Amino acid sequence: MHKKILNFPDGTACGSHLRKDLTLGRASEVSEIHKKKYPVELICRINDGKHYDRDVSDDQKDMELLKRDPVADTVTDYGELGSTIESLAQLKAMPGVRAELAMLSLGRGYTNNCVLNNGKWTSGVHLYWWSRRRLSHIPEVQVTDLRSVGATQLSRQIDLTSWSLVMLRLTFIEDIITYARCEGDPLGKISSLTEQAALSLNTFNLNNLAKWIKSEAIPQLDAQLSKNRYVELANQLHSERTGAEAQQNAALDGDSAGDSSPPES
Amino acid sequence: MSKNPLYRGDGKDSVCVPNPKADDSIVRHIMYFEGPGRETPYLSTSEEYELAEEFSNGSVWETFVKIAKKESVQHINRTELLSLMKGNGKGKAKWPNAFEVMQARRYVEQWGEHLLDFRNVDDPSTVTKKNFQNHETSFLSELLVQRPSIWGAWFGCRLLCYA
Repeated sequence: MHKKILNFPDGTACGSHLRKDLTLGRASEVSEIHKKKYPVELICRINDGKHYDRDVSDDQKDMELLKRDPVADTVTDYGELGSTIESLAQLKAMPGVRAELAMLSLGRGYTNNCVLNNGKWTSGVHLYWWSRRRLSHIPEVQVTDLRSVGATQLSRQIDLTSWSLVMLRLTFIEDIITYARCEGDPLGKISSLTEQAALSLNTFNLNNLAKWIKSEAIPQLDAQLSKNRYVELANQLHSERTGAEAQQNAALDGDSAGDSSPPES
Repeated sequence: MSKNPLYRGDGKDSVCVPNPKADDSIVRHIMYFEGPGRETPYLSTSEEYELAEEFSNGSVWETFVKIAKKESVQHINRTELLSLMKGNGKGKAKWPNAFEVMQARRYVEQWGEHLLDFRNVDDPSTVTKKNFQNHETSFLSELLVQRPSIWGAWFGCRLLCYA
């Protein structure tokens, strides 16, 4: 992971980039092609594959300026001192679509890393539940959230941006479903929600999308992962974590007891 | 037939040359799965100079549908593209993944995209040179079109690298 500010975000990439407009499997496939074009360790121009120092910054002054923005502040702290899930929880509590976008994007990376490091699908269960709860809410995109309006009217751009964010929620939830499927969990029985949505709705109408989510997507999700089941899984995770910490502490105590025991005469 | 110019952001000295024999899936082209240097029979253009400029790698180039058609280049306009991209798509926009069709549709709308189709062109290198004029020399400034929105479609803030 790079810890740099992108000065030219639309025109640069690196080999680690995972596309947010694709589902997990497809994003992984495309990422393999991407890795052959761009090195993992360098941020390069998309067009010519070259690295320019001016495209990035890790200067402290720039970082401090970025930290004046609450979302950026939380994101720059992400991963520091093992605080990944805490950062995600902070983003979840913040208002605005930028915070949600950051939570979903970082959340995809977080869960993917957990699973790649032999974690279970349930490592993303809190993020799943947070996203499930807001799934049918139409995001309130502000004009200040947009970088450009493209070839459309402002109101249309806001609709397209909102659609994109709701689909990112579905994409994230689909990631978790995919991980659950690999472990034989009943949640994995649900077929691709992004595909279902795209086949059911031919336009970017947000009200229709919200209605479809309420009537079609949420019942499927809740049938496999109800609130009661979520609470059970959360308690189970908590117990496992507490148990692991207790074991770790006991081991540390044992070490320090060994250190302080008097030498045998 | 539109009399307005179409703009394309591309290299400083030339427009990249399409391959008429390459895979002609429209969704594959718009979604830019293979990244720069990929083989495609299409060239993306935009109705808007400013949007083309966002994708530029040195220059913005300009052409007109009338000129393109004289050289056997077909024009697939934005409205036609949008109408092809519903559900699993139709014609050359048919694609097994409806979600990706929808994403491609969003990009077409967002970027005011038109495609120039070189599938019937025998000498794409010559035709490309004939078709496009550097906007800097024909008018005042320069442009380019590519597809950064897909790689870095993070609106709102410059946080890509933290993911």
